[in-house]
Amino acid sequence: MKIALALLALGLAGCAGQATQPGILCTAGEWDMPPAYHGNPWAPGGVGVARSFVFEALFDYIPETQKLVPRLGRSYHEEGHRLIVELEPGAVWHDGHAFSAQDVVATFQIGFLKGMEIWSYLDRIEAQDEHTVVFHWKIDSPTNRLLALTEPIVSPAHLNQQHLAVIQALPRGGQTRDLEAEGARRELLFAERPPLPIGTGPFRMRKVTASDMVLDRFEGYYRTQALKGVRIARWGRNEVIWSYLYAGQLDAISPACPYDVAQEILRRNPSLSARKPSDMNEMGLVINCRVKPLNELTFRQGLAYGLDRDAIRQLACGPGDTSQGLSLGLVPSQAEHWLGPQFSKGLTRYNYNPDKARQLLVTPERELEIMAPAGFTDLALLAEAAASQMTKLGVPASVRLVQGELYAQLLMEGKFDLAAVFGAQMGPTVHPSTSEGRFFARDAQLEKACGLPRNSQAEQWVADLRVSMDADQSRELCTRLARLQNESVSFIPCFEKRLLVFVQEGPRVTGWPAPDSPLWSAAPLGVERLYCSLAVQGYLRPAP
Amino acid sequence: MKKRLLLSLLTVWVALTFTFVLVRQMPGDVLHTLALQLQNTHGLAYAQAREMAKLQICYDPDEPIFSQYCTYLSNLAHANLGRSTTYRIPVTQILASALPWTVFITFLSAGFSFALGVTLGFWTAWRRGTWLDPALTFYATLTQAIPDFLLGVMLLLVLGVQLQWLPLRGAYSAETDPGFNLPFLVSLGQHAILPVLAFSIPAIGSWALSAKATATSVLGEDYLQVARAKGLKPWRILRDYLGRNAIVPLISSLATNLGALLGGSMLIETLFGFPGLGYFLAQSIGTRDYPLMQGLFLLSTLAIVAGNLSAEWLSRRIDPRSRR
Repeated sequence: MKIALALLALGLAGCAGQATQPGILCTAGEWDMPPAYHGNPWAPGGVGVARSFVFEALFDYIPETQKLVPRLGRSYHEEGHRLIVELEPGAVWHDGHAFSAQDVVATFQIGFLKGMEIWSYLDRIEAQDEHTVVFHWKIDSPTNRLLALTEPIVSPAHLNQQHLAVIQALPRGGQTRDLEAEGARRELLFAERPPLPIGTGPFRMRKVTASDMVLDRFEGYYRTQALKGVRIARWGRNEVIWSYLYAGQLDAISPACPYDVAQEILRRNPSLSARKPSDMNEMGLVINCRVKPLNELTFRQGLAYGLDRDAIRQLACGPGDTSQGLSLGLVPSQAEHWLGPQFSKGLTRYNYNPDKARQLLVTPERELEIMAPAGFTDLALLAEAAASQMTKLGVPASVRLVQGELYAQLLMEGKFDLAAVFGAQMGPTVHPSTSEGRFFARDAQLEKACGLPRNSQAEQWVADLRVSMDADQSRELCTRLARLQNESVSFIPCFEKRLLVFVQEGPRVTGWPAPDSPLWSAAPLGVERLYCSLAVQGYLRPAP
Repeated sequence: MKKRLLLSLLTVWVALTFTFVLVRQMPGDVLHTLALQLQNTHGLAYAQAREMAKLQICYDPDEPIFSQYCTYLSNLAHANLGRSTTYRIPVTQILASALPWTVFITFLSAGFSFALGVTLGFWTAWRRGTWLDPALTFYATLTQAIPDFLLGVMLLLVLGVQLQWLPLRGAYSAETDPGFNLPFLVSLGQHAILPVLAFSIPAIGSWALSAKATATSVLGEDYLQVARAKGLKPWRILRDYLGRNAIVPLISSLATNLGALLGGSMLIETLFGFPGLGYFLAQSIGTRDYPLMQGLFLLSTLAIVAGNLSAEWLSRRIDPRSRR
């Protein structure tokens, strides 16, 4: 009885501890639990989900309007092969040290060790003065500007002096790189484990526990920003996040969520609403073309005709957009932009046609297996729906859920029949070279997965696309790659994924942009980054 | 007892050898995966990327397994469990941080479920034939049939979300500072309730059924008839006569169960964001972090062996007959 009373007393005391705090943005994410947690943004594990609140880039990018919103950068201009950026003079690091052009240089120099893509095009970077930084390009590329301007600045020069001189002296040429020296320096860099990260962002990390990250408003921030802080709950599992949403404990979050669960959450918590921006990727099934009967083009075509993608989309990703029977290596909503209005001309369109599918399909000698990554609700549901439809078509199929690390390996080694994957992905620069590169670039993940012979011509087209500054040439290259991808039927796209971003108006935070605001198009570049950007731009404010 | 200790040491050695080989036979090659990543991000040839990956995670699968095993044993002799390939810190540091939380939650859960379950079982045996009997069987069957994870989600939804009586996650509020201070201790207690309930609810039924069975076998003994004839109060007979004799085999089971529980429950700890061994076990399996996996399995083996030893020691202390 005494124990029961004590538990009841503790429980009731717990009620008082859950009072809402206006001005605190609550979201969820993942990070390494202490004692594994550390504040080194370069080392594995790193800063975790707090990265987007602690660090900031020179500019924030809004894909829909193609607008760059100033953060640490005040303005920029281009002169020949140079990009010149004027920096915010009032910015300071969380330890009180003034922010300068040297910090930008430090970030990109150290980024070389981590294989930053920009170094494929960047010759050097220099601090012209305290608040001006200059990027010197060795190769022009349509993605150069975004790669430079949207990279978070994470390395205070005053804390990284010991690395910078050594890294700057490392040879950069493809054949002359000193890998041993790079590796040794990388190890030294990774070995640094400050307890908390130091950034220039509007929020400063105060505490990390196994279940929560506590960030407070950085009072030295160079702009007025109304939110008092951020609390981040550990993600754990999707079911946990749904529970938190139900309870009104989160103000913004984007979990994978079956349609009926989303509807129930919205019904039970009326202060929540949903935003559905495109995630700039396409989900579908990659086919292992090494194994029988999937090595037969007609069989693959039969599958492409036989799958009801709209039914799959309804089950796996309610807000998504059903693919229209084309596999272009591009996200469908971007197809017209990059391929022109006649983009489907001459391409085989695999619309849902079960009769035609039955003509093309043969009953295999064994049950086919669709692999899906455990923990990815949408991909797992996609696999389930596809397996069920294939079985009805006379092609028995089952689903195998595989853990993350192993999943990637089995995919690359071709140890599967079909696998639920992200296909076309536009990446942070929203450029088709990233998307087509996933199918055709050297060591492309999806090309390795499907096992079709390496196509060196397509590899060259992707390489050309990466550096093409001519719109017509880019369109021509995209068209060739799209045709090649569509006719090979190595990937069956099911739907363009749309994020389901739940936002809560009050009781802590208010001011979320309307569902049709172009600002939401930045969500696929990092949804936490967007929340932080909205706070800095003055949209988010404490609930009254 | 010396013989028993030696046997326990042998058990530990066999278990650690077995797990050493077993974890390396698991599908998935972390080095290969990392090498492919490095190949893509750094524009290197595969062989170069693989060498770089070896350096990064300090693990060379090309080294003969016997040689790896010898190194492992030698390090173990110096209390060196190696460095986690994922987190890049000593495994002992991770274990030292996570173990107290798992010990706290499992001992609390086991103690709570044992005390309640055994009392309930004894009382049911004492009042056999009444409604308590089928009610206990129904409760035990129901709670054993519900998966741990589902039970955890249900508790979270009812007590955390709907009623908002209890905090939803973590071991303590992030607003308190760990230490011997009242806010922290109160917060610790509040946060422990949900995971303890998730562990205990099925265990209570299980303990109650076992206790009922052992108590029923004692009920016909002469000394109980004598106690009744003396007119002692039922509660006293239950505690001093029935309980004292029937509890011996249950205490042995409790010690063994505690050992097994120390391995941590991945699902419950993940669900409630509890910083115990279960979280690290789940992560290490996912990332094929061999040193961490081995450290956790070793700890689990040691806990089970220690549980068995203490069960034997306890039963000797409590029951003089077992000393013969």
